[in-house]
Amino acid sequence: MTLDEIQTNKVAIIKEINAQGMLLQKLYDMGFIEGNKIKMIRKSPLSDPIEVEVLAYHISLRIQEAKSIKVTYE
Amino acid sequence: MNNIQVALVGQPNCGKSTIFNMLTNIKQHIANYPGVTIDKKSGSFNYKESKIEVIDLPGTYSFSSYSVEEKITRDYILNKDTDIIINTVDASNLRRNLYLTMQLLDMHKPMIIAFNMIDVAKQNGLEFDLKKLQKLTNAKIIETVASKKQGLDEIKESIVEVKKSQLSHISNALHYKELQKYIDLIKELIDNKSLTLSKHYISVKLFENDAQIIEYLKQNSNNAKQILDYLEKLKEEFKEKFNISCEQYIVKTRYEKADEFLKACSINTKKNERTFSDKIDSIVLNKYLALPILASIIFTLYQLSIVYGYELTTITWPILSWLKTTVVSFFPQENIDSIPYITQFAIWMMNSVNALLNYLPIFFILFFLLAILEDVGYMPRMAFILDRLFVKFGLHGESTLPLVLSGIFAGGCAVPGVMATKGMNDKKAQMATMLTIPLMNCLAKIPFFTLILAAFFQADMALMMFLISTVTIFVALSVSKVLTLTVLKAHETTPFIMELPSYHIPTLRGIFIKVFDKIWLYLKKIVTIVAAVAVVLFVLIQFPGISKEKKEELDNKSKNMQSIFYKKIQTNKYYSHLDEKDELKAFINFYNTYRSKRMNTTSKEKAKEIDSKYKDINPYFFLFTKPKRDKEAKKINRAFKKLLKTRKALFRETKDEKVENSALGSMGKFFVPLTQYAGFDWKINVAFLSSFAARESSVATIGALYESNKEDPRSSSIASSSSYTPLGAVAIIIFMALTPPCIATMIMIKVQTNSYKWMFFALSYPMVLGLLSAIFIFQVGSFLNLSGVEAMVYFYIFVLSITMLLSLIPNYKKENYV
Repeated sequence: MTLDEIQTNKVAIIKEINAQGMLLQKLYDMGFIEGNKIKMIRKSPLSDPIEVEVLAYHISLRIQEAKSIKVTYE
Repeated sequence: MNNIQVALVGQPNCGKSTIFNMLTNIKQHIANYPGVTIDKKSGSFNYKESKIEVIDLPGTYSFSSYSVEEKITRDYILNKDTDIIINTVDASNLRRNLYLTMQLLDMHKPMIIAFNMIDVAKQNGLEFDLKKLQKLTNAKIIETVASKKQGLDEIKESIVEVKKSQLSHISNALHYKELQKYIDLIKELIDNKSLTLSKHYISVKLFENDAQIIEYLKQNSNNAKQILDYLEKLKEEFKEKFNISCEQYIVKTRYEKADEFLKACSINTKKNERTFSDKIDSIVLNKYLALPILASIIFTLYQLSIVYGYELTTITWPILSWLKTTVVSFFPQENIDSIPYITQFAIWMMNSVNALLNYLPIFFILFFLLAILEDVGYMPRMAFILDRLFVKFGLHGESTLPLVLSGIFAGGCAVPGVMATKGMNDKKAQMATMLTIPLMNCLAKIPFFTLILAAFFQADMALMMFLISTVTIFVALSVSKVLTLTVLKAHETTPFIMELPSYHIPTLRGIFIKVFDKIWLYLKKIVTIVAAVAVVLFVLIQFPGISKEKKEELDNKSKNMQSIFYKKIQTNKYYSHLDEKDELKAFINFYNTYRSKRMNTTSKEKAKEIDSKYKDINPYFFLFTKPKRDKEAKKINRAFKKLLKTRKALFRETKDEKVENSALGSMGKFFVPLTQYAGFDWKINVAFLSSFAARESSVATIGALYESNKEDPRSSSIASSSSYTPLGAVAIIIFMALTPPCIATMIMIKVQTNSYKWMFFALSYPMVLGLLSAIFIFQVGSFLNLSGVEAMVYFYIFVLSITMLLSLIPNYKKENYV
């Protein structure tokens, strides 16, 4: 399952990131690393982008970008 | 005096700018980095025999070479001239902030760590053992609370101290565990003699696949190819063995190291909870409340700045007109039959500059509120709420604010709008936003619309105003979409990955610094350039001047006017005080300056003061000005007022004649063969041309050209004295709504894009678009025999359909971020 599909406030673990170049670097810098815990906080009122919590940061990203991150529940 | 160069580094939202303000006070200098449009803030202060220069580098999360900001920051840190880095970390969010610190360690620079927001951290129950952290990083650590100016002297002291013993504070490089062996292998191959960067840093960056460093190696090293080939081999080997790519392993190690440091130096860690921010967000970003809250914030912003700011101008305007009168009073006085050129020029210049200065109260309130929103942390949330809407048209959530400021509904201003695009991360969306901003309804277009609507659409004014002010939004969205698919195709687009930081209480000082920065930029750039343009326009209007025959005719009229006046007062007992030409001239000037002085006073005492002053200057003139019960003086007063009225009419006739004959008038006529298809005559063309300098002047020009003897340009003379139909009026309105931005906006676009090319593009495409739309409306409307309102409604539907169609076209192929 990908990041945009997880339930709100249920902790998940990042399994794999399928991105290259700038997107990958940006995800790394923001703490999206395989094995890190991640939690969906909310979706935007228009349901895209989404807000997630990773390493105590709240980060917003578009669903299109979230699709490149594979996650599983603990 | 010795010079010390200090660079401020830190992640966004760590309080770096507050530290910068604390160190440099208000003595700051803002410039652009060469070749890019990012603010370079620097400042300096003296401390104990040293002149310390500080540069505030852009806040970044890392030092990859993907974004311009990151490249700049990196180059500045690695620059030989930079003596010391001050790395600001947010103590209340240490784990995150240490990630950047880990990357800084690889750069081997003398480092001071400003341990900021220590108060917040302590409130959260965190305790630190900074000695341990000092040992681990080899950096000097100072605890600060920048918002309360705590730690200022300690930082200054440590700068001097670190400079004295630079070598002992050079940061320890990070040890990359399993990968370190491989890094060392590459290090051995690097020939250090010709390179300015450290071997360790180059090697790590090579494993990170950093394009800039690879390029650097190719340029400066003879065995680059050998190194790169070997690197590829090692990378594959590593991935085979550890089942993780080198890039990811490096990032992971940095986070792990940051964790180790954190564990080593912090005591009694309880989980950092964002309770306060989360509570606010659960309301502000709530599914049902987010949009109404956003709308009310925008509405309040408008209400306070545009509406109340406009009311403030009633207070400031008298000051400006006093300024004008004072400046003009240094120039030669008016003659009976003419105003000297030089004086005309002074009046013209003061009017042009005042029109812009008049916006200052509005801008002041606007910039103040914006700085609050920015510092509080609401901006990224705004983008989060509306991104989906904008992304369809090649814009970005961050485009919300610039478009709102420029007047998405009615009455914004493109200048702060363009300024607000500065912080946008997505360069493509930034350009698209900047180029479509001028299509919004700026404050100065409103009087023009009102004038035309009042003349032609009295019954449907509200409906028409609504249609006009909203049609431009759809035009802007469509244009932006088309631009992103065509001319902006090559611009880099970035992922929408944004931090939603905790809410902060802003410091008043930080806000005022921001406000004055912007106001100063406005004054410096806009007013000076508009003044220059005003000179050009003045020349274009004054020359070649009126024909000889016309001049004689006007001279005769003036002589006639004077003789009528003298005939009336010949038998008057005060006749001797006005019987000379010079006396009449003096009285005209006396009367005019007295009137303008009195116009700008509100208080009774002030008015009395002026009265007694003018009585002293010339008691007789004062009597003629205010005859009260003196019958004879009353006669003079009446005759004189008549003379003034005629004089004014003559001046206006002269001016009209001059405009028609002038270079500008010729230009207006020159375009008629083209503009006739939109139903524009030369007078409207002249109004458009002059409105380019400052839109305020378009109403005045129309008032002057479609001369009605009334003072009020809002009269419907344009409807009666010209051959315009409501349909023609719609064409005029649409052209005005889409015409090019005023000079001030153009300059701002030049400042932000740093290119004349884009400035001219921003200037020319709206002209073409506006003219085509006007021609389209006028021709189709005439052909179908539509009324004005019908034409407007159909045009609206037409634009709306195009916008809908364009929103269906996909923006870019997936994964286009490389």
